[in-house]
Amino acid sequence: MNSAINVQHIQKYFGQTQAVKDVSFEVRPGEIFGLLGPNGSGKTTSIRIILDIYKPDAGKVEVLGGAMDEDKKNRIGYLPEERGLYQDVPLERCLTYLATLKGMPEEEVKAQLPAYLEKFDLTTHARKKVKELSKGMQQKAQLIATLIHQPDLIIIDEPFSALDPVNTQLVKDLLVEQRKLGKAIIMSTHQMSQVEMLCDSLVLINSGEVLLDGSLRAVRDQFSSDYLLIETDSQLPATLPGIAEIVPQNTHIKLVPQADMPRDQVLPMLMREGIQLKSFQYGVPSLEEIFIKVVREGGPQNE
Amino acid sequence: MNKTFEIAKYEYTHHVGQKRFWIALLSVPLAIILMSVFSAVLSITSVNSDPVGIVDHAGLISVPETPPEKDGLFDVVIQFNEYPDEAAARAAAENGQIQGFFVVPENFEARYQVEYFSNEIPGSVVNTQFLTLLSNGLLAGEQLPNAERLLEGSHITMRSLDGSVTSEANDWTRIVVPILIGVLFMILVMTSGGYLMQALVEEKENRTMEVMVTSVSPNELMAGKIIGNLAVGITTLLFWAVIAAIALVVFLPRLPILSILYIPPVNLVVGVIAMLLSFVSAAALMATLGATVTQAQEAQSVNGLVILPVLLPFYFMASFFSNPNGVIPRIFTYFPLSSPLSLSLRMALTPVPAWEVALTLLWLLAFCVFSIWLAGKAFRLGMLQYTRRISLKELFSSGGVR
Repeated sequence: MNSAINVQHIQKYFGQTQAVKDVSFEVRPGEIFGLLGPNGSGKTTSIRIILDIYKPDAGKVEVLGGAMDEDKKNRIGYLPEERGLYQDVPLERCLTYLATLKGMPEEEVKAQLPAYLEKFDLTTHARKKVKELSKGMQQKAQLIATLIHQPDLIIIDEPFSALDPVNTQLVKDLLVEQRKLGKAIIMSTHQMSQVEMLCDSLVLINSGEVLLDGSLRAVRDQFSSDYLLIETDSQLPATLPGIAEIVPQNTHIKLVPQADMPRDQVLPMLMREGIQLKSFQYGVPSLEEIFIKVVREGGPQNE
Repeated sequence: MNKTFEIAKYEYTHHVGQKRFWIALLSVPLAIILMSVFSAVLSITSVNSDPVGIVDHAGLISVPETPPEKDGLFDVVIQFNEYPDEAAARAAAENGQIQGFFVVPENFEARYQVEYFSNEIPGSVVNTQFLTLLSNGLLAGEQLPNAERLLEGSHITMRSLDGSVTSEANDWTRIVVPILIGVLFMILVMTSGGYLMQALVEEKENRTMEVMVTSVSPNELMAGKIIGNLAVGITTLLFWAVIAAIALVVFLPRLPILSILYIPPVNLVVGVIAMLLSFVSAAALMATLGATVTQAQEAQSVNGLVILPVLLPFYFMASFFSNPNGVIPRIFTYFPLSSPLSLSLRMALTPVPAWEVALTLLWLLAFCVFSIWLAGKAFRLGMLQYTRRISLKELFSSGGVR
């Protein structure tokens, strides 16, 4: 399948500062791709290079099958980090204007907009000036502006930042729906739980360099540990066969096997010892733990 | 092109739909009407229109039985009463029947002097109308075919050596139109240019710039904004032109002075071309400022940098009258923002060589291209600088943006 985005070794300087040192990744249609990194890591600069706002000093970017051009702007929906709408105009007019700039005829916008407003629960606010809406409502309005022209490529920066849990779920459902429609989605966020739930693959960049990339499963496997987590009401003995360490945690107990004890032998051992288990899981670090570990230590190679 | 049109349409309807536009639109004609009425009332009430006496010992003056009709709405016609001697006139003046009286001596044609008796200096209206009566009396016996023309005095036409350019001396009515061009230009820069700068800064303040540049090209964005805001300015001017035309139709028969306002067609064409070229330069410079600053308030404080040069020729008007081809008028002619008024004024006051007019227009065109280039550069550099102003050094050095 052709890539929706193919970024190859891009670099970008601002004066003496190198904002992007070497970033490469690929996003395919029908995929939600996580662009992750701490503040100031070069995510926004990379996005702006993809969108041709900045020219890279080195490297190559292909968008929707080739170099970026004016026509492709109509096939991209972008929710930038610095977001905003025209404050002094009615919401309906603001969204209509932004949609026409994406190449939609005004009549088509007028036909499509009510459904979007309904979906985002903004119908009753359509004639209000944008400045009269709450921050969350403005964010939903901006999501409408990002999606109404049915783009093939969606780039969204922190899409959940001002949303309550109900609207967060609404946006998540919408992104999943777009993925099913075969749209390529790049999502930049600090909310790792959302990445774990939504993203198919990801890249983690820091100081303008890629520290980690691949599918979500591959990344997690790369960081999977030997330990296991169990939940039980039974009183555990001080020692267990083949277990080097027993560490009680908040609701779970962490078991660290000895070097010669295969992990798949731990469950039979616990059954033999008569331990009543409420839950049993292999120790897999959360994406948040992986993020912190990688950013602090500079990548998986330093493990 | 479609997107440029959409942007222009949005800019136009957005500005025209705002209260401040209508206040600006209506306030100027209202202010002019109020000022005209005020000055007319002031001039009428300040003129003493009481009758004036004449004691004509020379037998020159014949006062018409019915006073002449008023030419203009605000003209004042003085009633002249003849008295047989000074004692009768003095008595009338002391009774308040007349404001004063002229005495034409018997030997008037020996010295050509008259005396006026009153406690007040006679107004120019009294003097002018008395002199008309006296001149008519003096010429009454003569058989001159062009007596009226003789009374008008000399008309001098200045002509360049090759005969290509002419100018009328003493024809003050010619400078009215150039000054009007200057005033219109100033208003156009202050309204349209101001709106344009405001529109760009608002794009930054609202944080909509990033969405805009990923929807349209910077050139489309800039062109749409310039066209939309220029259309706002032209709407303003057209509205005022319609008001002025209505006023002319209504008042022309009553204000004959308006009918002698004249500008040669060539001067008008040159003036309008200079005005348009300068406007695009001014708009582009306003856009440059709008792109480099970060807040509307900051933009307001720097737009004087563009407006002030537009006003310069008004402050140096005396230099234009004393020597229209002098150093200061020439410098202002070549300075793009003061050029429309300066060039039009010089062409009205003196023959300006054709090569100089052509050179000025070419220079304005070149500056226009430079300003648009500068605006584009500033825009690309400054569009995503939400908190930091762009320095001149950055503007003229090669940047890393598209």
